[in-house]
Amino acid sequence: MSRRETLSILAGALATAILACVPFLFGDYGLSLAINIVSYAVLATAWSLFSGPTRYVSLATVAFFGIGAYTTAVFAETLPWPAVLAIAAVIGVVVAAIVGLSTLRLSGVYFVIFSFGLAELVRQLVTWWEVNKTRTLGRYVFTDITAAQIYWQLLALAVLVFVVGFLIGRSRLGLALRAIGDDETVARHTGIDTTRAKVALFVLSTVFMTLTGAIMAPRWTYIDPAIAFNPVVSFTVLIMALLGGVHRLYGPVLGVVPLALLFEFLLARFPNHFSIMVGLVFILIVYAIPRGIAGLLEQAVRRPA
Amino acid sequence: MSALLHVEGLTRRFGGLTAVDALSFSIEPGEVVGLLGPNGSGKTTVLNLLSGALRADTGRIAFKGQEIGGRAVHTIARLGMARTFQLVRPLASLSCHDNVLTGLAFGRSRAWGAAAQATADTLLERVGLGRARDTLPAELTYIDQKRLELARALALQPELLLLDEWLAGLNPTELEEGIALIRSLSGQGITILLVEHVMDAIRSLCGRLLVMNTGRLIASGPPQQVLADPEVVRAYLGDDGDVGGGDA
Repeated sequence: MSRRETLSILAGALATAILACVPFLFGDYGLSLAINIVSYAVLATAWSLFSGPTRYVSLATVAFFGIGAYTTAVFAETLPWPAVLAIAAVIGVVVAAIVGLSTLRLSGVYFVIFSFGLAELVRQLVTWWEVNKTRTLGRYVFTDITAAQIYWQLLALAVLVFVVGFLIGRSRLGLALRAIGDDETVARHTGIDTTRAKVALFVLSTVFMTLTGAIMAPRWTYIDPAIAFNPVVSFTVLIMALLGGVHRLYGPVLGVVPLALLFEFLLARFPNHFSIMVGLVFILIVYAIPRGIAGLLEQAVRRPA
Repeated sequence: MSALLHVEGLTRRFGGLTAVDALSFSIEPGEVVGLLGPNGSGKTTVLNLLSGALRADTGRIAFKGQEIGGRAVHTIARLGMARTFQLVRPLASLSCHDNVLTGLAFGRSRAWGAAAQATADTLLERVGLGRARDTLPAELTYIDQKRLELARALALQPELLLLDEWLAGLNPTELEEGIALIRSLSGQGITILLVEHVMDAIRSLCGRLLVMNTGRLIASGPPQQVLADPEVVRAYLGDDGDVGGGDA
């Protein structure tokens, strides 16, 4: 392990320790903002775990997030909490594997459209089921999980996604994905089973999204498909990851923090023009900083040297 | 059947064009075979069919006695068939070292860790890129990118190496080095099928030539004999073309 890696691990541990104290230091508002930021940090990092190296832009984030949230809504009252999370993870893995196997042969814009369609499809299916079978559109999520506990769980998940990302980066799978991102034909010709590598990572990345949804659900107390499968989540995650930079593991977080704060501000001050403002931010980011904040930082570090 | 590669009745059409037309040939272990033909005669399509990048419409391909027609590209690569591309295709975001490492990690050796790292360095040395270990491919000259691609192909520990105009565009000194390099690979026991236009290289390397024209095999045999074949001359130069050496 290089010196730099040891340092990053120490910095990560220190940051985690400090962040774990947030519930004691700030009031309810601060905590809810922190929950928002950490949940997006997990989603954006998990998103770029797959989409960064492979360059497959996925808009299916909310499909998995919503599946997780609904799993909690259905089982939280009857099953112990770890079992709920386990079920959410299993459902997420199964859906991701089916979707991955059937779509990752698509490339470019076709995959983007499919992933967006998938989120809508899942939402419509859940809606249909709730209306026709359970005859309730919308569910109450009653648990005794506190906001602080939600925060700590998300923080643990964030640590986990970073550890997994770090390990993948050093693994054969990581090399395979970078090769696929560069040139899929060449990757196949060097013996890489590109479909398997892509599906494996897609599944891994979406499990984190599913778990985030499951952990977040108790925050709402009431959910319906429009809340759980809100496509804005997918776009928000995408733009956060792009702003931060997807070619580095720490990149997405650099986009999550400023954007989460900005969105919070816009939502409070301009609730009626929120979508327009977010759209403008989106365009600005893509034009002005295509390689993300992580890219800018690296440039800044390299230039004076 | 002792042939390393046996192709029978291989045919591939693109719309109305039959790019490869009922092609049959065999390659014995240890041979260096040149695949020749005018531009558009279907040579690269043949390589794509062999490596699995394209599927044949009809015909059989047997490699090491196994039927490989219709198999996935990566399984054929792992079986011991490696190739380079006519227009170089290095993995742009990976250093030279990591480019070669892909072949080691996913090819036949499935090597990883310190041993693979060392082998990658050795392979870079082998093709003359030892100094470029941590360089990105974009910073290399065209020739060095070709060397890199060869090293990546060698990392698969191929029994059959497909070279698609690997010697094209080299200056005389580089050409000499390139020929020596290919010869040394052959000496190591690697069977080589090379698509090539550089006549000097063909004469000095190939034990046997296959000549294609409009998708069909029109001649096969030792270089002297094949290159003197009137039909080959006509295919290359036309009926009243001027006869010359070098790049045809």
